[in-house]
Parts: sequence; C-alpha cells; structure tokens
Amino acid sequence: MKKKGVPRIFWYGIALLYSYTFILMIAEMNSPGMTFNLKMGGAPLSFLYNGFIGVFAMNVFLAWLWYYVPEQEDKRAAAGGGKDK
Amino acid sequence: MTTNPVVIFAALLYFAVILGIGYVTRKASADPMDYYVAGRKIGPFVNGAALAAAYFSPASFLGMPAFIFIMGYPFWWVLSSIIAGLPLASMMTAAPMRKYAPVSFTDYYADRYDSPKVMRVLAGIPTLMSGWAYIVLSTVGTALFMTAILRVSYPVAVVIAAVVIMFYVFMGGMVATTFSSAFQGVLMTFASVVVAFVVLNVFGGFSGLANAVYANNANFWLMPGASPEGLFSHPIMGYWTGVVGFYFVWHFGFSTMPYTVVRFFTAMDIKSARRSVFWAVLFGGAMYWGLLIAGTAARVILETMHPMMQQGATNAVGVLNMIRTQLAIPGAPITDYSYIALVEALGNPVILGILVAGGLAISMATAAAWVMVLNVLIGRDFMGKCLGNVWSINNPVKSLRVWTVVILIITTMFSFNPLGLVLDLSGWAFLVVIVTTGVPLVGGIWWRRANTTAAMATIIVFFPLSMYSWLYARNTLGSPHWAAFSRLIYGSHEGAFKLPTGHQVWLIPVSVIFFVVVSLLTKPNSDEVLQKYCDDIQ
Repeated sequence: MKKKGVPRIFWYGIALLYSYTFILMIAEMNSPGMTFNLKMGGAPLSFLYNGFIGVFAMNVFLAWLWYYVPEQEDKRAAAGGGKDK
Repeated sequence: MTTNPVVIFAALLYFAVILGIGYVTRKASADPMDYYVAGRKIGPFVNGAALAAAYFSPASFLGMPAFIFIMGYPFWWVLSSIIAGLPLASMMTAAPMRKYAPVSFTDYYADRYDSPKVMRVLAGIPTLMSGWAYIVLSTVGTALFMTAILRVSYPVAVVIAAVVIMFYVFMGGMVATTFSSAFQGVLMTFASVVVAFVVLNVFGGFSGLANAVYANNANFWLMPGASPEGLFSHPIMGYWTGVVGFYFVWHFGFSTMPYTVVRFFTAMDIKSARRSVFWAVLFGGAMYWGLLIAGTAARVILETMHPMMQQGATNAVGVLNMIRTQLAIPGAPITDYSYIALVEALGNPVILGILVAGGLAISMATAAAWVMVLNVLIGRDFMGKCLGNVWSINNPVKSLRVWTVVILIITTMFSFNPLGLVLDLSGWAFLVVIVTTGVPLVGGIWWRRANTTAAMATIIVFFPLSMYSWLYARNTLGSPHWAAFSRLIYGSHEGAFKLPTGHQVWLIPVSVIFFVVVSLLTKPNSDEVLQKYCDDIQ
C-alpha cells in the first residue's frame, strides 16, 4: 500500500531547482559584471549555468528523476516488500 | 523581394505531411474515444513531442527571442523557468490525471467538486476565453510566417492556416492532432537548434557572440542591482521583482493549462504520462536553448548583417519598423519580426526554409490543440452534459466536428484584422487559467480540504480581477508588466516608482491564499468524493 500525498522526491527536486536558480540570481544581482565577466574558456559562464544547465540539463535531470523514482517505487510496491513512498 | 524555391519547397513539404496525417487518421471518427483522447494509446515519445508542440506557441517562437531582444540577459532566466515548469507536471498533474482518465478538461472539476453542471460551466469560461485568444494568436503567428517568409498576402495566409488546421482536426480529431503535433514538435526543435548553431558559427562561438553583444549594448548583460551606476537592461528589469516575477509568469502553466492537461489523458498508462513529460522537456529545452541564442544575437545581427541597414534603417528597431511597414500585418508588434529578420539577415535559403517549417509547426500545433479542447468543451460538455442536447449525446463525433468548424470560423474572423490588444491578451490568457482553474486543479488532487465553495469562488473572483488588473496596468500604467497596485503604494505623481511584476504574476500567490482560506472556512466535500477524486488518484 503506497502512502498518499506528494512524494518526497518531488520536494528534493524542488529544493534543488529553486536553490540553484535563486542562489545564482542573487549572486548575479550582487556581483557587478558577473553575467559577462565571469568566464570559462573565453565565454561568459552564464552561457553554461543559465543558458545550458538552467534551460536544459537541470530540467532534463528533474524530468528523469520524477519518472524514474516513482517507477522504482511502483515496482517495489508491486513486489510487496518495498518501503512506502 | 522574391521567395527562394527552397523555402517554398520546405513549406509545401510541411503542408503535405500535415494534410497526409489528417487524411490517414480519418478512421478515428469511427470511435468517439479515439476522437476525444486518441484511444489512450499514445506512447511517451510521441506524446512528449506532441506536448511540447502544443504547449509552445508563436508566443515562444517569436516572443521569447523578442523579449530577450528587448529586455536583455535577465530574460534568460525566464526561458529557464518555463522549461523548469515542465517536469513539475509529471507529479503534480500528469500521473494523477492519467490515473483518473477523464475525457474532457472540465470532467475533473465536475467530479472532484461534486457539481456536474455549475463547475463545468465555471471552469469552461476561462478556458473558452484563453482558447479564443490562443487560437487567434496562433493563426496570426502561422500567417505571419507565411507572409514574412513566403510573401503570401496576409488574408490568404490566414485562410490557408485555418483551412489546414480545420482539415486535420475535423478528419482525425485527437489522433490527427497527436501525430501532427509530434511531427511539429520535432520540426520546431530542429529549426530552433539549427538556427542557433548557424548564429554561433557566424560569431565563431559563445565568446564571439558575447563580445559582439557587449560591444553593441553593454547594458544587455545587466541584472537588476548589478550596476553601481544604477543602469539596467530594461526598466522592467531594473528591480529584482522584474526578474523574479517574470520567472513565475509561465512557470506553472504546463501543469495546469487545458491544452497540455488533456494530453495526459491520451497517454497509454501512468508510466507513459510521466515519461512523456521527460520527452517534452528534451524537445522544449533544446528548442528554448536555440531561442535563447537567437534572441541574444538578434540585435547585433540585424544591425550588422540585415540588408535593410543599407536601405535607410539606422538600427535594429528601424529594420523591424521597415519590415512591419512592408508587410502591414495588423496588430503584430515590431519585435515579433526579430527572429524572422535575424534568419533573413543570415542570407541562407535553406535555413530560412527550415525556419518557416518550424514556425508553421509551432503555431499550428498550438491552435489545433486548443481547438480540440474547445470542441470537446462545447460539443460534449456544454451541449451534452450541461444542456442535455440529445443530438450532441447521440452524435459525439459529429458534434465535435461541427464545433471545430464554428470555432475556426470565429477565430479566423478575429485573425483577419486583430487588434494589438487581442494579441497582447495571450499574456493574460495564460495567467487567467492558472489563477482560476489551475489552483483548484492542483489543490483538488493534493489537498483533501479543497472544496467546491473555494473552487467556485476562486474562478468567480479571479477571472474578472485578473482581467481588470491586466488591462488597468496595460492601459493606465503603460505596460501589463507593472503591478496594477503600484499607484496605491507608491503614488501617481510624475516619476513615481512602479513595481515590475510580469503579467500581474502576483495574482498567483494571492489566488492560492484565497483558495486555501475559503476552503478552510467552508464545508469540505463528502468522504466518498475525496476518496475517489483525491486519495485514489494520488
């Protein structure tokens, strides 16, 4: 029998998403020039942490996490020996 | 300016595939469940690509590069938030909605809030308004691509767009819409990514692009508060609430918008519903990365490479103004041409051909998805469930087909000469769904205390309140992105501060609080209802 309510993995993912976003946003707002001057390989790092990870990679990971973990839990629940949630 | 045959071929090929899908799927009309929800047989890849194509509209394809063009780097976070909103749906609504397996968007409101007629009508009102605005916007977007790139006259382009959408939705209902949207999802992503790589190649990579943008307009890179001199990329991005507010404008849309929620009904099982979100993120994320690169480069490319700079234009805005004058598309803001103008400036007919196919794809997929929501809403829910019309009940597919035609005739009429307001309204059309039906949808699934009174009150209060706030801000404060209550707090004197909050996004937390408070103060629904439509679908 599965427990009801929002699965715990959802809140872990939410914490990861919003802490990543808002820590970077706050850093950018308080560090003059960070968006352009902080560089990696000659290009602004913002292309990586915002343009690529923020727009694409982080969300692909979360989408994977939020289908993979519930599927594993469903399997365990079906087998009858797993933990709830 | 003439149109290159390669571009015409790309458009014709696109139309041939879409019309072919409509014809091949015509047998869906034999079974109402196929016509309504594609028989609930769609796998995750096809459903995910279709989800992405339906959810992202011309407001993404034309609007996102235009917003970056206007507001600069801070708007990158908005693209990130929109895609981050997709995975939220896999748990919030995708799995529960597939488990519940309804036919129409309003079914859940009727069942969970134990009000088969009133809740259906109430949930249907914002859905109708939003759908109308989005179909008009998408028809105009489709026509804009045809007019700007293929040089088809605007009224002819509107008619072609409406007729093609009508053909495939009429023939194959949700089956045709699903497969055409999946094809369109792949195409729009491909177009956006190809354009981005060509742009990066022009500048020799990310550093070349960044330096060129900095040389053109150093303020582009400014986050609010980051300039010791108090400079900003745009007045709305001059204060932190501009970025944070815009971050949340579209963030919760994927979980709550009718045209995405109904696509969870088409998945073959709960596992497919969750996995289809993964594919939607993959397609949508890649497309948005491409739009981010294009929007960043747009101003520089227009000012250094567009042929109109040799014909009298002095800057990028001048180029866009000249294009608008030349095309004379009513209502469309000049910045909507920025993405098309950028690709034109690249001077490569193959890339322009790919863009026209991608642009037509994203626009038509959204229009078709909304037509399917509205034809079920009117033809099944309003006519059959609410009014008890015998003909609609006995002829479900015919009823939907009749309403498909009616809906598209009405929206086409609006598309011929759309007011700027109608196109702008897409911003409100999005917000209104989240603050009226979105909150009771998510609340109803996950919170036992959510009740009928709160659901009804939220829709009745926030439908007019959101429309008034949005219109007041747009017409009196000069932009829908200034908080409507700014004058109450900061006064109305010359130079008074206005609080930036994109599209009146502050209404989202206010509607959540309102819903919670009313739920706590009024009688909960029966245990039987809560068991069936809350506990059992989690």
